[in-house]
Amino acid sequence: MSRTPRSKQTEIEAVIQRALAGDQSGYADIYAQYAASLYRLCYSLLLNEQDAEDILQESFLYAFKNLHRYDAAKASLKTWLYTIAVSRCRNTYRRKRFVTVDISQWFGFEIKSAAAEAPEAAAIRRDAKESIAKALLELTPRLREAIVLRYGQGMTYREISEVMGCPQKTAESRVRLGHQRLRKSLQPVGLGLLEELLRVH
Amino acid sequence: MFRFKYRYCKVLMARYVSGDLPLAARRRVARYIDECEDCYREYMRHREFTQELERNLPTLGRPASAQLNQVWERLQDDLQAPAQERAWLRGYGASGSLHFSYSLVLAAIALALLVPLMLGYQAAMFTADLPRVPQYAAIVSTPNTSLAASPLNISTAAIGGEPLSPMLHNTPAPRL
Repeated sequence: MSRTPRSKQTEIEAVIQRALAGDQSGYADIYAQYAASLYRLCYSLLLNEQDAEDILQESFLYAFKNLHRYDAAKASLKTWLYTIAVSRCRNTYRRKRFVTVDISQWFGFEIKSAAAEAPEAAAIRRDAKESIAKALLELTPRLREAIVLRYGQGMTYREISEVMGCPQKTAESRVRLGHQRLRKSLQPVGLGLLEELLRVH
Repeated sequence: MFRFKYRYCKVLMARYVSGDLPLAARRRVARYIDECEDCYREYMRHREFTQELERNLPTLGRPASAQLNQVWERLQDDLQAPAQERAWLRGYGASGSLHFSYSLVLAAIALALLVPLMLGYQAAMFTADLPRVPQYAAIVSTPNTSLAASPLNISTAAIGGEPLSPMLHNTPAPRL
C-alpha cells in the first residue's frame, strides 16, 4: 500500500517529535530514512568516498543538534537535510578545488547487479557511469549541484531552488546549462555507449 | 522562422521533457517539434540523454549498508562526546575546547612577556645609582651657627675620617 505525501509528512513529524522528546529510536529512524540518499548526494558532488562519509556524519550531527530549530512550515525535512549537506560540500570543494581526484575511488564499492546481467553489459554500464562522473567533474560546482539534484535525486525545480538558495528560474537555467555542457562533453562517447547498451539489452 | 522555433525549443526542452512546462508553452513546444525537423532532432537527443542521466546518476555512489552503519556509530560517539566536554567547560563559559586552548596559549604568552619585564624592573630598582649630594655644598651649608662665631677651620675638617683639605686644595678660600 502506497502512502500519500500528507501521511508521510505526518509520519516524519511524529518521528521528529519522538527524537525531540529524547527517544533515540527517533534519531535512528531519521538516519535510516535519509542517510543513503544524502550519502549519494555528497558522493556525486565530491566524487570521493571519504569526504562523502565525513560530510554525511557532519550533516547529521548538525541536524540532530539543531532539530529543535527545524520548521516544517518552511521546508520538508529532506530539503532541510539536503541544504545542510550541500552547504558542507561547498565548503569542502572550496577547500580542495578538485586539484586531484582518485578515479579508482569512484567505483570502490560494487553496485549489486542483477544476476541475469551479462558481464559485457555490466562493463558498459560501468564505463557509462565513469564517463558521466568524469564529465560531472568538468562542470562548475553550481551546475554540478543542479544536475545531481535534478537527475540524481529526482527533485523538482522548486526543491532545487530551496536547497541551492536561489530563485526557481536560476535553478531551471542551471539545470539546462548543466545538461547542455554534459551532453557536449559526453557526445563523442555518450551516444555510442547508449547504442551499445540498447544492443546488449 | 525555423531558427526561432529551434531556439525556443532548445531553451524550454529540459522542462518540456521533464513535464514541468505550463500548458500553453507545452503545447507550443509540441507543435514546433511536429513542424520543425531540427526541433524534433533536438527533442530526441535531449530525451535520450536525460534518460541516460536518470539511469546512471542515481546509481553513482550508492553506499553499502556497512558503510552507513560505521558512520552511524561514529555519529553516536560524536553526539555523546561533546556533551561531556561541554559540562567540563561550562565553568569557563567557553563554547568549545578550541577557544579554551586558545585562551590558555594567550595567557602563557602574556606571562612570558610580563615576567621578564617585572623582574628586570625590580633589578633596576636595586642597582640604580642614587644621585650624590654635593659634599662641598653640604659642608658649607652645614654650620648652624654664624660664621663669625665659629669660623670654619678647613685644615681640620674631615669627611669619613679623611681630611677635607686635599680635596679642597684648588678651591679658593671663602671670604669671611
